Amino acid sequence: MWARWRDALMRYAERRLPALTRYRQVEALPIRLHPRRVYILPTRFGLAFAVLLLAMLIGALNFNNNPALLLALLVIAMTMIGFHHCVAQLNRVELRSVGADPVHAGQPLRLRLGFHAGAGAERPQLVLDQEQRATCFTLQPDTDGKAEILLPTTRRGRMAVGRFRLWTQYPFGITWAWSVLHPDVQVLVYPKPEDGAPTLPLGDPREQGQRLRFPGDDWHGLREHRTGDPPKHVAWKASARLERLLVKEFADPQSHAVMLDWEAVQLDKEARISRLTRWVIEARDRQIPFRLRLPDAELGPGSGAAFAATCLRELALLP
Amino acid sequence: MNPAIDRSRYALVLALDTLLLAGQLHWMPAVYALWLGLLLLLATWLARQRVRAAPALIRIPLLFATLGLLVYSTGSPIGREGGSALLGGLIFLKLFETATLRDARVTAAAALFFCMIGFLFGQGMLLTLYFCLVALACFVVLHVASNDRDDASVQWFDRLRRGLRLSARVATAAIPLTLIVFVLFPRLSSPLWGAPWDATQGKTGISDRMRPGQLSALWNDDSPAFRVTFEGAVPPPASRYWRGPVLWSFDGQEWSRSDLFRGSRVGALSYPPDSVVDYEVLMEPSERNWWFPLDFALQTPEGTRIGGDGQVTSFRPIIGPRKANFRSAWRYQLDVNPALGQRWAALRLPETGNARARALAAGWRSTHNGNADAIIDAALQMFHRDFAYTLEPPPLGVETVDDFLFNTKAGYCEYFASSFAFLMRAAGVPTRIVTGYQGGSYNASGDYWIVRNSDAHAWTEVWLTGRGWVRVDPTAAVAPERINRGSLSAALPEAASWYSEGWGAEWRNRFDLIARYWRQAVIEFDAVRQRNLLQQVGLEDMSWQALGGGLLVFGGIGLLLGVWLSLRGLTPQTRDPLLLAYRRFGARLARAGVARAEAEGPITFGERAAQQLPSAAPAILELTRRFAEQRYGVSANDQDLSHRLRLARELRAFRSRR
Repeated sequence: MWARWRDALMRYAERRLPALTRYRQVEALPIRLHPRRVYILPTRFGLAFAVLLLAMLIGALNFNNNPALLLALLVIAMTMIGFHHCVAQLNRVELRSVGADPVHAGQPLRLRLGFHAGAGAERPQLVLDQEQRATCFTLQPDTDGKAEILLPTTRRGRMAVGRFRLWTQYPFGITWAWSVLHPDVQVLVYPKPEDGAPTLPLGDPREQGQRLRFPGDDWHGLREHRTGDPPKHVAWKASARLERLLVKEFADPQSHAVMLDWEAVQLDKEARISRLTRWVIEARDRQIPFRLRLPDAELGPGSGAAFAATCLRELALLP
Repeated sequence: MNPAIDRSRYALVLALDTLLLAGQLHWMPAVYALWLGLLLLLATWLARQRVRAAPALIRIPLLFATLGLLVYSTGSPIGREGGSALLGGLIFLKLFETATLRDARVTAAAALFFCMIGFLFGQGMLLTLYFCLVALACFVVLHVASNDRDDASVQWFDRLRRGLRLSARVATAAIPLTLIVFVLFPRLSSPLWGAPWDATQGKTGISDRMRPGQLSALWNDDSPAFRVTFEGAVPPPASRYWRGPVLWSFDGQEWSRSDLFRGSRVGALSYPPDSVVDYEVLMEPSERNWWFPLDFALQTPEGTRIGGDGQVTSFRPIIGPRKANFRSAWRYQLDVNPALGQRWAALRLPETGNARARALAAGWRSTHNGNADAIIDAALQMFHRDFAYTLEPPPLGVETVDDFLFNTKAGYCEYFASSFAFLMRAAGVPTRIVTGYQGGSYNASGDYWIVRNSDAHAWTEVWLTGRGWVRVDPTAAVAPERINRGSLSAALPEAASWYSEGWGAEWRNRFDLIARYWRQAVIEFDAVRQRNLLQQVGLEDMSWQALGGGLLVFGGIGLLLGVWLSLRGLTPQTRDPLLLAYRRFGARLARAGVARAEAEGPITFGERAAQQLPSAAPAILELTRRFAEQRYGVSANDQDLSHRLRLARELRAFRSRR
């Protein structure tokens, strides 16, 4: 109930008072915070604390007890200076970069936000949150600091990272200073791979062109060691140079690269994308060269992570 | 949402409560303070057992035990002492249910309030400083407990140090604002509500009852009762009697005041003009209504009245330090013709009891044929001959007067005054007991006299035909030096403390002087003093608008000053001599007309400057090149310090000629 009212109120405020909420709109990086866009309010504890200070003040005045008045005023003055410290925590903080490794829809996206605070003292206890997810970090002076936050993903394609709140209750927990960061950044979300999809359509060699059958007799190349590889295939010399296990791979040229054809999958659109995604992943993991034919593009043949990433990207961005 | 408290933060809360308790010992009943200390130990022990929120099975009995001890030691949970002790008890009980950081913050806030409570019982400078330090500790706890989400990698010691440093910095920065607002904040000319206690509850100072053995509690109390500044000549030591409550009624055990003379007026009073002194009395808060003017007060200040027996009372209890001007005559004749009833009241005795004393008095009466002077003389001689003055007399039985006169024969002023008055009344001489102070010590550095609670005294007045009420001090018959030297410790070496003589006394006097300045500057600063102070700086108009405006303007300045002071270290700063020297070099060039743009690197800037200042171009280029090399080049990590320092020196020495 309350949340709904608040949201309605915020929407109204944003519509009618752009000046008030201007900093809630998307902005290009870097976003630099300055006092005009850092807001401050007492915390709930701060409100109770204020009542206590008022009681101290009135009590001291009433009994004309000057040492008590001095103490009350000292505490009030410290609290007021604390407000400025709270705002200064956020002031001049700069959001310089936002990035993430793409994930498949449905998986949480680990968003990395790069901050910079300039010179001065360290800024502990900065909290970055978006809805219920929050992360706490400390910025060291003159050093780039990173905050990571997990965002849920639901659908493929470009996703705006949305609006973040950077806030702090430092130093005394009496006040709460915050600013809204809405970077104009979109991250890519790959389509969700189909669960229980049919295996990769290795297809007919005559139609599909050059294909390799593993294992074979001809030298094919080196690849990362996977569990189950026979030890006699390990390429010891090459492994020693690279400090990881490589195995010699032999394959027979059998056919052309696998064709992952949009037209060949008879499903509705999203399911089709989902199945192709699964196949691309599978091909990537099995190091099988493949081609991907989409309604208005054809990629490949190719293999490896980079090619697969291109394919996944195309799939994600399909209209 | 509300994170649990960890070990190190809980330890800080325990430490805060320890500081808090230490600051409240000055008023707390010993039993109760001891109990709170025990609670603290118990909480510490539980915390070591990793139990921070104790089960109700422990908490509820502790609550009842605390309440029971509260009622036992303070009488009731209502009133100043009881209420304060209750708050303190709750804060300490909170230790047993402190499970989250929020609890720690609540404790810190309550501790701040409890610090203020301490000022209801004493307003000394040291106490104020101490409580300001405790307030600082409260902020440290607030700071440390607001770190809900602080990462665990931070060591608790670093966290404490960070909190301490920040709180100290903020507190220092808050001082100007505090002082400005303290001076300018509008004071109430009259309280909104009354004091939370009534006058009869007071503990310090003289009481309106007297039972032999009672004043001894005061003799251990070296705190000042009041300070006196004489204008002109000072009366001789043997006449420095400070008159307090006058006791008329005796019930066999205890002397008390009588309501008979409360409303009556002072009778006929005559005095030689050369015995009149004017002086100013600065009373410490006693929570009672009594002033102690020099015997006998002629003029009393506003807000007080003088009773028929010469006791000066104020209309309101003295709960804060109060200052007043008096005029007294130290030689006088009072009530040559006493009011009806006074003589009668001064002769009353209980029907029975103390038979041997009665018999002795009856014997004197018949021997001396009712001659009052002779009877007094006989009694004083008896005291002088057979009695000893001691501060640690043996206890008395039920028949106090008989026991003292015929058995123990040793005591101090109360014993002598009480038995003397009894003997006189039994012999038919009207007598009353006066309590108050006698003597006082001189503070040369401040030119005032200080009368301490340990100077409390009791003496008698007898009514003699044709001479009125005459002061007779039976103690003087036994220990004349007690009266003539004017202070207890001077008379009785056994009552003297190491600090009351020699260099100790000197330092004590100095400290008392500081304490007096503290009184004048801080404690007594009220609406009137505020107005006077502001008039001195030309603010005649003391309307609340003017005061509020001044408060806003000057308070704002104070706040800005504090913010600047406390945030100063948080803005960029460097101590690298090379960088500082280069900045100076840049400033020199800027003065010569080439200012460095913010985004401009040193080399680009150097080239531009060389172009614009051809005369200095070689030096600029050379210095810039070397600077860039030292700061950014491969050799930047080089440990060749001498080279860097030489370069810094050359950068500083750079002068451009236009």
